[in-house]
Amino acid sequence: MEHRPQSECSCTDMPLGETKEDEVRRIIELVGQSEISSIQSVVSGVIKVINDRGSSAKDLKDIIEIDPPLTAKVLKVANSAYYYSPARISEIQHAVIWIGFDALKEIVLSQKVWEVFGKDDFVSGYSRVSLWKHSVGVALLGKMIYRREFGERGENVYAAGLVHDIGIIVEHQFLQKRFEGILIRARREKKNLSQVESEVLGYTHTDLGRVLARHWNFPGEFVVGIGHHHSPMGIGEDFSRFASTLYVADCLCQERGIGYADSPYPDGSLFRKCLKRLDVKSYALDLIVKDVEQEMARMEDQGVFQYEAP
Amino acid sequence: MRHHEDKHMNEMKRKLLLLETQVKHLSNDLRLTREENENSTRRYFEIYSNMERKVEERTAELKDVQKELEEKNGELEIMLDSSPAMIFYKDTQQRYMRVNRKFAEGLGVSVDEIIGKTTAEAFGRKRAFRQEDDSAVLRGGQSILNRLEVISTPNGERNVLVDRIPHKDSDGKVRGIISFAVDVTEAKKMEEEKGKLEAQFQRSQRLEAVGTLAGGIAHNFNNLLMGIQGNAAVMLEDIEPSHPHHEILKVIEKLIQNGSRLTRQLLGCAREGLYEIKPISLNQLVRDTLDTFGSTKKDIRIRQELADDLLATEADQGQIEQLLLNLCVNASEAMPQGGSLFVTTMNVTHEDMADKPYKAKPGEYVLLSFRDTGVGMDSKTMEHIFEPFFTSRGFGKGTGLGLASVYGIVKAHGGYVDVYSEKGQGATFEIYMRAVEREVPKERAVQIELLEGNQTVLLVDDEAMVANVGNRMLKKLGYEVVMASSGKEALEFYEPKYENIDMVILDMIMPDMNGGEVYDKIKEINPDAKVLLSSGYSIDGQAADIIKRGCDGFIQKPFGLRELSGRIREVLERR
Repeated sequence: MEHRPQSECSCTDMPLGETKEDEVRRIIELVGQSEISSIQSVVSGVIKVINDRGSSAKDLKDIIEIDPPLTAKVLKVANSAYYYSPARISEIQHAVIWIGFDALKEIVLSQKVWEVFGKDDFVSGYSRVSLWKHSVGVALLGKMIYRREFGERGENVYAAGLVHDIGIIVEHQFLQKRFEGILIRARREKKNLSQVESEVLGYTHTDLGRVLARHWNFPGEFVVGIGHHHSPMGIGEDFSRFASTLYVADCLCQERGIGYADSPYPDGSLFRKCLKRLDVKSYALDLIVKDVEQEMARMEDQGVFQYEAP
Repeated sequence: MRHHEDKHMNEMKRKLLLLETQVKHLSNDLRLTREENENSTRRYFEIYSNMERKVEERTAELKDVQKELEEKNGELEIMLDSSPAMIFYKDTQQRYMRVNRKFAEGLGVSVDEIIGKTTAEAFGRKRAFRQEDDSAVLRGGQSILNRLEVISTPNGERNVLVDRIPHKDSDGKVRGIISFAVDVTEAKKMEEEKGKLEAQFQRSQRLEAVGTLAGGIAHNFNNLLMGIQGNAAVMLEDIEPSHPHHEILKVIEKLIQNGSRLTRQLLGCAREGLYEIKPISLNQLVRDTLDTFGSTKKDIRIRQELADDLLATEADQGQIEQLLLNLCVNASEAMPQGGSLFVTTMNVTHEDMADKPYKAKPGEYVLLSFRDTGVGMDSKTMEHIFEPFFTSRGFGKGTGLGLASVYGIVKAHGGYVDVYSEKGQGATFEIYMRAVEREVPKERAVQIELLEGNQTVLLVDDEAMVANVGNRMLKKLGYEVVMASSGKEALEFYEPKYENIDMVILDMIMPDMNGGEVYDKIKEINPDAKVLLSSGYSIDGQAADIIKRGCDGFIQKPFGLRELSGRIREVLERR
């Protein structure tokens, strides 16, 4: 029993006779002309800095300073109570020294990505801000799992966590009517978002995210991680842990109510399978989630999430 | 129980696992954080060293620029330092920002100690460059040029000519002040010196004019006096002392003497009246004069300190007597309530006179010093005392010729005269006369009797009155007299009959030929001729010149019978 999305709603978003591949390609093109694409250079730049051992603070500084609004935002965060800087930081150079190279990368990423999540409009339990909070939660949690469980820095997971739901943003922006319909239907039929997406669109936000990540030349683990954050099985060894971690973090955030939940009906066995594959005990995750929740609360208190609407 | 224990064991196991996990988490976190810290530190140093390198690069660049600047500065420095002007640059706070070497030398400070200071800070109460003008330039933005200022320097007060120029930036805002100061002290001194010389020159010209005038007057005056004198003398010889006119004639003679003295003073001022230059003993003249003077001024104590070995000086004795008398009179006038007069003589050389304002000609001198304890005078008066007709004693009290004639006489003899005085402190006159290594001839005994004779005398004088008086006087003395009223006439008469003429009395100034020429012609005709020169006035020392050529004697008009008789006998008896 397959629903034809075209028949479900009288959408003008999609020209008649277009295949779903054509549609995705068209949407990606539209993204290229929209403000969403403005995050590409910064995000891929920071990812490059993260993964290139030879990169220096100067590279990061250059990425930031080429974007004056971003520079202002970064400095604002650097001067926020969270980092209790003794003197006013007025240069990225100083921010690098005071906040630290690693923390600054996260700030840059989150501030930049926020630019496309910041436009708030509330539709049927979804809002961009709630999605943003969810994204930050996934990013932090993923990073913490990497750090504490795997003893790795998890910077890529953090970056991927921030953008793993970029597909939802894209849908919302370019398939607005159908997306609203999907949200309403998911809610009414008590289904996960991706299930309704598949039924209506024939593809999901994870598909859009994957294509976009590839289009933007993000590293392979990003492409795979974003594309499989709801279906982490059957992935090659290389990216399996990355995608599974994203999946676990995504599930945990939804379970704990951190931000928007697109999958309120988790697959318990898949989750357990993933944990087993990652060799992470649930009580260990509990410890990590507790710390993430604390950290999120602290960040919220100290105004790190007080983004200005773009 | 068993179940309970299992449950307990499970609980323990769970806690243990939790602890293990926590330890794992913490140790992982710790390791990563340490790594991150290390990373951060590394990056920090990376940034730091980048910055340091940049600083080094900039420093190197700066050094290059600085070097270039220093070179330029050096050139400027050399230019500034080689300038003869004192140059300074002040900022708007009037602090010295830059001064050149000349400035530092001129004001006796080091460049380092003055930079950054204001004039007041650097020089305190010493007289330095006027700050008011600096302020005016900074305020008004206008140059102030050619200001004459006096500044204190290690070389005393100096006159400087100062230019002040505002330094403006491209917006026309005054940034500082540049000033050039040139020391004009020497130039000013030279200017003053020149002024002084000019004044001196004018004064000597004036004196010369007065002298010429006086000389001319003296000549006519002496001829007049001669006429009166001669007639009075003849009359006196003719009448008995009991005659009622005898006393009157004596008074006339006395007055003639006074008049004669006046003309002598005039001639002294005019630097004329040098007739008989011969070696004289200054000491003897001083003693004689002071004896006479002392006897008339009892309230003045005279102390003499005369060098025993005093050298002789060549001079006209009459004039020196006149000079001494003038100094005595001046001293007594300076001491109306009485006082002391110290008179000293000594031998000195030009080296002893090195500190004088004039440069004495090398040689030996005799110094005559007159020091009184009188009223003294201020420097203003001192400047004028040697001018004829200048008197500080009030109009009518002196002739105003005394010191002028002292000056004229000394100058005519090639000597020097100095005066030192202060108001209320007395005065000292120092007279330097050139010394000569010659014996002073023995003084002849002063004759008292009229010496008569019977020889034939040719009397040559163009002034009929003088000639007539001479004729009478000579006849009175017993001589045969032949008269000629001009040089030509005299020679015409003398040439054929010179064997019959025992002597000639020759007036020096005649319209056709002067005395000198006539004298020479007479000597040509008769080398053994005896000639007595007579004159009331001598132009350019002619008399002295003729005497040098061998003339037998000189008699100054107006003369009396006694003087004439004496001189005639001297000439006739000379062999």
